[in-house]
Amino acid sequence: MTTENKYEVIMPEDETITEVTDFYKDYVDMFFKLNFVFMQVIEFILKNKLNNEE
Amino acid sequence: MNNLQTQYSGGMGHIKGDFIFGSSLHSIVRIEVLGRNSNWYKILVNGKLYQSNLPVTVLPGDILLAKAINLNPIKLQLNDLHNAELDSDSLIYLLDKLNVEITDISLEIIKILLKIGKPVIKSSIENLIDLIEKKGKNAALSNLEFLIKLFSDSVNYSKVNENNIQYFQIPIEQLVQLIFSSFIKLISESHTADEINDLANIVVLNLDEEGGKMPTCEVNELLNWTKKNLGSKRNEISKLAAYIFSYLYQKMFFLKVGQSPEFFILKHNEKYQPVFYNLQSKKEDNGSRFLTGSYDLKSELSGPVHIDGIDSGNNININVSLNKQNQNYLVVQKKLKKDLVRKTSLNVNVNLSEKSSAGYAKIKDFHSINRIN
Repeated sequence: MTTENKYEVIMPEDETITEVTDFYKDYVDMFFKLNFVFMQVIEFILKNKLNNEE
Repeated sequence: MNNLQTQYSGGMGHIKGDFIFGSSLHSIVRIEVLGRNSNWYKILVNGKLYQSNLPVTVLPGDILLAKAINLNPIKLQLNDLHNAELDSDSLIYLLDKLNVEITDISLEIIKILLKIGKPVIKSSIENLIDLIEKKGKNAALSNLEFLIKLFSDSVNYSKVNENNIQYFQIPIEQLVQLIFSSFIKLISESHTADEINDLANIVVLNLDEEGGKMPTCEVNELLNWTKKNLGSKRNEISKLAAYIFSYLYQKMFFLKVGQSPEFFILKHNEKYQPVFYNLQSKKEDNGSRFLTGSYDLKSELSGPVHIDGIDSGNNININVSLNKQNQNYLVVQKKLKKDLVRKTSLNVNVNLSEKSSAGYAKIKDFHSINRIN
């Protein structure tokens, strides 16, 4: 372990990696649509401002 | 024995029944769980016997608090018990009602539970006290609000142990900052490593590229990248992979309680900016589920912008509040509508408004976008 900005960097054990892999293997992202729309809105807002600058 | 009906409202728990309750409006009542039969609990409400299907997970012997928000018919609310800051005498009174020992830690826990509107349940407080003792008091108290958000739910608390508690030493917002700092260090090198370009494809929204594709931010892509790079010979890359792994680990616990922390990185003019927000699953009074989230975008490009979104399954409602700007709102709104229709093919309602000086939105117009088949 090393220390960075007062926090420890945790190198996961194989067992923990398997736990996370198993969880996300069957995970269906119900937030996908809303998240995608959020990203599109943020992109639009920033690009719209960009267009103003040009 | 009187029957109580239970319902959720906007993600908040309520108990409802058709009788006059011997308590004043907005007062805090004590609910003691005596037993459970299928979905029904036998409970004492201020010492009187009822049965109800409580909207929280509790075991016989547990005690919780509720607020009487209506007396006839009776309606008890299990969370958002108090909006204002409570003095220590009031907090001591509430802990006393719960039969929880009064200590600095229990006072701090109940204060935060009330502040963030979580249900106040004796077993949750005791679990959190136990968690703080495992984690080390000083370390835990500095991140207490984060721990309470994650572990006041018994589903998550039952999964935390001495082996995995180390993954919760950094609140997820700070973890995103560490991921971002490490990413910036690596992407700024004169010869960016292939691994970092691969990661950029997953998490960077590049405004420098015309028609550039959206980042997927897909958890399994992120996890695969992480697994591939945890053992990197380059210390900075393996450290970045470890931070992302901790993020994915914490996210797993958030998902179990209906929350989805999301992050990506914006790139413009070779400058980068992290974006982090939390989406949540909530329930309507009728039991139907909806997803919601908000984000305050702060950028030199845009100035402060507030975005709210609700996904009700059939359609998505988006509210955007902007500072006063030179452009015509209707023109911008139409452009946003057109953009979302073209890119998402979803049934989206868009409301663009101007933030007033007090920070509240003034509705300028409302546009509906029909589904494209």
